[in-house]
Amino acid sequence: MDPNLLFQLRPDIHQAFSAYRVWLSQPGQWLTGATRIEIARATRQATQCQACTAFKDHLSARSLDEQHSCCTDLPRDIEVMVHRIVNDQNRIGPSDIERLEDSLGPIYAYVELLGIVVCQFSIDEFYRGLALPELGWPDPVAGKPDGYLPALLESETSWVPMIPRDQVQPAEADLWPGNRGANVLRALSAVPGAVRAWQNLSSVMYLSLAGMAEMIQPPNRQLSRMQMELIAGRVSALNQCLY
Amino acid sequence: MLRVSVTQSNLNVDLLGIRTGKAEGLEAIPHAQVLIDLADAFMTRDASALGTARDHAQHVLGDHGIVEAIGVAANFQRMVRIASATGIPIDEPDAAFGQSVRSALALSDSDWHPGG
Repeated sequence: MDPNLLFQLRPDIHQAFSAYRVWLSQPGQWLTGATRIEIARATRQATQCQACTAFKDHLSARSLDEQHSCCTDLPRDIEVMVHRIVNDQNRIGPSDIERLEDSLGPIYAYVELLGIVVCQFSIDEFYRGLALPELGWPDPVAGKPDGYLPALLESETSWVPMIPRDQVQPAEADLWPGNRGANVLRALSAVPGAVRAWQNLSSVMYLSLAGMAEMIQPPNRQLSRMQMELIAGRVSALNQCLY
Repeated sequence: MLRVSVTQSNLNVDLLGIRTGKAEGLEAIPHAQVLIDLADAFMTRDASALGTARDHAQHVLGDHGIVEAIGVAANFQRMVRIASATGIPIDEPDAAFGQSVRSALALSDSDWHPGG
């Protein structure tokens, strides 16, 4: 498909992807703009890593970490984690996340990394799916991460701190409506910007949060809700995603 | 979400087709097999297979439709990675509904291996 035709058909997708690139290039809460772009580059490279394919059949995912084809300036253990999130996510455990602290920083930095990986991967998958040429990388914006943390976080639900479902503070009131914060939304909420980034992408690639709740067909879409949910369900089944 | 969507539309579908990749029981959803075949080709990462499935789907669904279909497929590459990389549990606001969906998808079967 011609990229120009795509963006004539759906200018909202072009706008959302552009907004993501601006977000990616800026200093985050725990990572610099340059590091964030390197994480995005590693995400794209991971889909070409021959070792990732071979390792899926090994009993121990970590025993062959040295053989991943790494291509960025990131410390190797960080780049390997990016590869595992993309290609072997079902074998990630809390000890893998803890081991990253020396090179990546506090666990909130891991949440930020994860937010970048999943957003970048889904955009690259969209381009692959339509046989479009991959986008280049933005220039990093200089500056330090701001170290922002939401006022309340809980660590009982998952391996990463999350905003409590029913104790959202005003600064994060836009992340989910009322007390309806599904765990997949809350998972990245220690880094609110990451939640907003993936929601912005989801609203043009699938549905907005409000659209999901309304259970109706958005007016600017060709596919019906049932058709969208069928694709979503089949992709999730092939990913063995019980969530 | 598919279960909720078809229920609200008063349609009768068999969700097991999501697991098997066969559209029998999903005929109430227009072009169900085309959509499943596109999703399957997308997930193989085989450019040739994807190209064939995409061309067919584009012929059936149109330019808007193929963009939306690939958009949904790419969007749902995020969910499993967020869930698995953070260890979040499944939300279960309605336990009976959740059980009915798991039953329809036969997720308790020991042969759970989609696409296998």
